Amino acid sequence: MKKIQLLLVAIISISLITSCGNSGKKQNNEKKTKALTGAGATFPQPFYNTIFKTYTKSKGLLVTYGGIGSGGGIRSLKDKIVDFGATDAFLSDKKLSEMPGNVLHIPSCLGAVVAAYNIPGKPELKFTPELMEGIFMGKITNWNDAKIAQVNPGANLPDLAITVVYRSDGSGTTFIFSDYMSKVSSEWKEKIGAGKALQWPVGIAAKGNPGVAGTISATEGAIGYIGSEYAFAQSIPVASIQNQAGNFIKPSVESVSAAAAGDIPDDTRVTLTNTTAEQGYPISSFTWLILYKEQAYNGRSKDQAMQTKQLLKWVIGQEAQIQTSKVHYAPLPEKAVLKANKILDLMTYNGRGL
Amino acid sequence: MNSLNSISKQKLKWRIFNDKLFSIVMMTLAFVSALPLLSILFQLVKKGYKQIRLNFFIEVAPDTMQAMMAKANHEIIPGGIANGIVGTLIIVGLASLIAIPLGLICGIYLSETSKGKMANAVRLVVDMLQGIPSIVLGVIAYIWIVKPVTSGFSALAGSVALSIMMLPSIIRSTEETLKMIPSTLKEAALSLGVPYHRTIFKVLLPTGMSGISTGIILGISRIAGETAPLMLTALGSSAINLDITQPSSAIPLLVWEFYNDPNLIDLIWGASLVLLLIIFLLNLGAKAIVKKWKVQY
Repeated sequence: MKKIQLLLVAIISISLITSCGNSGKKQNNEKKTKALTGAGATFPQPFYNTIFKTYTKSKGLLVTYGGIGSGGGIRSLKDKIVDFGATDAFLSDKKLSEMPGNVLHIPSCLGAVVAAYNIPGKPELKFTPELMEGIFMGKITNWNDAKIAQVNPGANLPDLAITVVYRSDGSGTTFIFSDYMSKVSSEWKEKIGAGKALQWPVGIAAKGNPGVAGTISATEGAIGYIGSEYAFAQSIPVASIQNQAGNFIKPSVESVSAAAAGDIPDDTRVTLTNTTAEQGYPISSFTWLILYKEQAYNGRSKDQAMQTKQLLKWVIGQEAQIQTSKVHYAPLPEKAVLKANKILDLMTYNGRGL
Repeated sequence: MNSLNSISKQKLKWRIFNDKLFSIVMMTLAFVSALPLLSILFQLVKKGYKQIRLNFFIEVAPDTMQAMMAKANHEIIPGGIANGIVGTLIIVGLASLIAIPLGLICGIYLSETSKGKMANAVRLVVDMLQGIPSIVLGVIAYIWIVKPVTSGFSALAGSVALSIMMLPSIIRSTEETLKMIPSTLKEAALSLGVPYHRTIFKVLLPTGMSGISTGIILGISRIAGETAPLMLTALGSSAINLDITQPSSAIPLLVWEFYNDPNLIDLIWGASLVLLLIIFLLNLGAKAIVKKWKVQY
């Protein structure tokens, strides 16, 4: 009997503690923040994991990030259950109007989507936009095709069927890649278009960046698109791609940074694919952290709002940006940092600036 | 006489041959069905044993940069899965705290009122509960707890999702065990003037202890490896987190996280091995309890 009573007491006290914690959050605006939570894109997750761990260590504030995909990040913010979300595809005007509050976009770093392949002998390959269209639309089906050889004189191209590998799940990586393809190929734009999940004309599907990278590594003759980090970490060869200026560009920290050399709108919602920059890698993109302009929502305290602002300012600051290239992303260009700082200064708590 | 004897001898030989053939076939098939488990264990040990050292249990998961640097120097990836181990213990412990009392009470009710519309309805519902996919429970916990109660991802929400998963096995094992206890035991207690509720708590429950605790431990080991509901509720955390209203990590979540980061992929094996060992130990514990506490009537 005593044991049962003890158990009951334990259950009741737990429910009391949790409900107190919740109501306390709602009533006491001055309550100290112990942790911040963000969720979303997996493409920049290696970068986020690294810098948030540094932040937790140096500032003593626990920052939790969950890689649940760009769509999940947007939904979590919509449900008001995170301090910030993360996405690789910025919210369209229509999506913005569906959100329950004003949403700010803060670019956090630049990344590249690469065309990675598995051919015996690992020849270095160059692709023109026409070759990209031909391969990914299934018009070029063998690696020894004359069109590939023409662009890659001297490369040892085997008689091997091309297997295209694409993402089966909705993904920001697919969006960036198809956005680029739509810009360089009118046929692609018409038949397939740009989006997070597409109807692919040829190839096999794999789940997530790790799935595509794994399938490429395991399949001779395979080619697919993945976040650059996944190719570099597993040393899968990647192609140089011809940009608008006509130069063949290898994906690298410098060439991705160069892609962001053009103008950036004040809300930073811009695609960088098919850049006009001479040395820019054409399949580059910002990735964003998204948050509400008005920070007093769902019982968040003023301290929590200020901590969120401080964290985001730190992310776009030098200490965090310097780490981007170490994990194969590129740092934000200076004007993006300036604009992002301005956007962060718009944050309010109960209508008053932070 | 002689010929009859030889016929029966021949028959006997035929029968012995049949018996042997059959047992060989059965043994082969049993071995084949155990083969996947053996090969999984072999793979995990082969790929994961390097990671298993003291640090693996007391340090939190490394970040990408640490792993990259270690890989470049051909060292073992530093860090461990302490945040996952602590998170799993908290989430599973809390889930047990919710599910065990509820499951026991429901099981007792079902065994005491084995007939009747209400009991049949409850039994049906419990059986259906067993078939609910775990991801659906994650969505439910997201709607019940994540959005309204903790206004964010939390260990508590994960526990609620997992506790619902645990319920059916606890209820069923409690019911079945209590039903097996001879009614004379109950009658004896009641005839001595012991109140009904004391009869249940002092006589029936202790007698059925081995069966009930086996059900509980099997329920725990069923939920300890769940990932899908936790992705929607507990989210994961890079640090050890004792606050149940905040996001928390768990070993299955870490395995998923490692899979998503190309630099951390090597850690999958070690983490899986630890998870498998924990569940293995729980199952062995269940077996030991049955052996030790089995009450003979």
